[in-house]
Amino acid sequence: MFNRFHSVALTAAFGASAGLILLAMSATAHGQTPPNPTSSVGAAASNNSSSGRPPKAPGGTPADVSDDPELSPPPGRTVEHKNKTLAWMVPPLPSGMPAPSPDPHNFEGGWVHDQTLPYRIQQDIYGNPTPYTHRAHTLIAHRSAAARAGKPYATTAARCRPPGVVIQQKINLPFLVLQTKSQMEFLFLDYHGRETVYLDPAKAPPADHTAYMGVSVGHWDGDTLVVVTKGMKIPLWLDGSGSPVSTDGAITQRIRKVYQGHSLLEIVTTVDDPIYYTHPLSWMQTFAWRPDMDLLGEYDCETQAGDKSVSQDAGLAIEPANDDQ
Amino acid sequence: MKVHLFAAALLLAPLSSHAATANNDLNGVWKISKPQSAFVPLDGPIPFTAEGEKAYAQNKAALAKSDFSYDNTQSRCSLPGTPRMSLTPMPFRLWVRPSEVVFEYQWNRQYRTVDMVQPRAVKFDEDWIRVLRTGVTPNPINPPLTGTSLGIGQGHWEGKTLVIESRYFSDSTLIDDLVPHDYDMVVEERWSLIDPKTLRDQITISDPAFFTRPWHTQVTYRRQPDMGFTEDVCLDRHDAGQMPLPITADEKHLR
Repeated sequence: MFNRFHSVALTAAFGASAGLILLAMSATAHGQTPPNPTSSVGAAASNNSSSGRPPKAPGGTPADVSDDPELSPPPGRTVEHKNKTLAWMVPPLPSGMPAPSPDPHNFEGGWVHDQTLPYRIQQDIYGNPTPYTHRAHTLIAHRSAAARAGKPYATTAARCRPPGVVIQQKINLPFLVLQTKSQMEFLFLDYHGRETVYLDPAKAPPADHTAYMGVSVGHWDGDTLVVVTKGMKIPLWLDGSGSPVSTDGAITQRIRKVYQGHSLLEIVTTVDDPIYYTHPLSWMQTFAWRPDMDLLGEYDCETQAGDKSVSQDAGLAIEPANDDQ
Repeated sequence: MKVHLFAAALLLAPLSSHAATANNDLNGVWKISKPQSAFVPLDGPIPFTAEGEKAYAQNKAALAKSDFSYDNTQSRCSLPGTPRMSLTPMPFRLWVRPSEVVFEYQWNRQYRTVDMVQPRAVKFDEDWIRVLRTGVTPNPINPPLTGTSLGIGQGHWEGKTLVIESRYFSDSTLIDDLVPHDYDMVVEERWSLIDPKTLRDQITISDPAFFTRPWHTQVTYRRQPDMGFTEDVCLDRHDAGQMPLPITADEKHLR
């Protein structure tokens, strides 16, 4: 039995999440701010991406970065360099709430990305322009043109499929971390998402491109958890404008707990994808400790997306194959 | 009066609580012992009211024609809800923590969180998307007007038994593959170990609109090796022609 009130509530729930994405897509492009260096990663980075540390960008502008206006803010507009805390989305923490575990290897509890969603990753962690390849330029230009034409492409998120680890974390809805010795589970309210980080590589499935979220394997580097995600099922979007990552790309996350007046989870993400980036791209985000949000509510986009009587693509356009060429 | 309930709960129930002792550890991965798509009542036939019998008969008639429009899960991959998720054919993991218990299902990457802090101090945010601990009692929970699929569960321990009472249901889910319910359904579950490898869920269902009295059923599960779950995307399976939930041989309702 399905009543109109249920459809309204589900529309609100789905629409709020989709609305966050659409809001980001319609906003003026914002830059990604490298925060004040609190992480030793920024200070001690090397060019060895295999260490999991984000490499420093080479000096100067990569040769194939153009002045394509599609990738620049319109005249008279400036790129904001600061992520702002969305205080209106994140109420003050009630008194009496517990602190995170003192164990630096224990991430259990509720967390939320409480800062603005950059429309496009315009800078890396060092303030250098995003090192798009020509194929990435082409792809983003096509995606932007489709959006401006009022026919934005259907993404995995719009189709109620897992959106990948980057988008999953960015959305301003809480997630819950639970862990055992052999795995760490990230449960996301948005899209009832899940990222399983296998701390015992022997238990990890093959990264065989059958999972939208890929396969994530982690190890401890001191008090920092280094997670490498590979083998995505389909190419995914990293931001609202469609910065891409291919199925052959690797996403490395360096995760640790920090304290800056309040408890945070700091994640430095590095995308290593030679198809779309001339060299690895890194950025840093922080997530607020929210023990008041550890009871994840329901998220059901299937009731609408699974309705066979309507469009399966949320009314959005289908992206052509080879749109990056 | 503000009561710092959450911190008090953690102080009174440390991680090494009785809930997690070696002989009573509900933590881990479990799988239903015998796949089934319907609950078997333990105390006679399901005691339908006239309204309940009518709704049930309509569902049976639709199922007989393979018309699943009455079943949002089978027709759209919607969240099966409580207690139907207890019949999931895929494994699930129980995370038992002092402040909450989390049921993590392989099925469509779904999960269910149950508040273990007493007394309850939670509310929905203004968009009814997030559930927020307030740390203050009393406070009205303000559930969504349309209810929820999983219900809002409140748990506590009775000895070694995890007792969960769930309320505030939507009427858009089914109790199992056929049995309907209304908004005022209350589901009590009593989870306990029969032995270290066997978990039992004893369920009591009350709904004055559809049942003349509470009725009881139970399901058992076998412990599985520690494992991560492969990604299950119900919509993809449905697009490929699979039923979101398997229709098992025990379709007794069709007799």
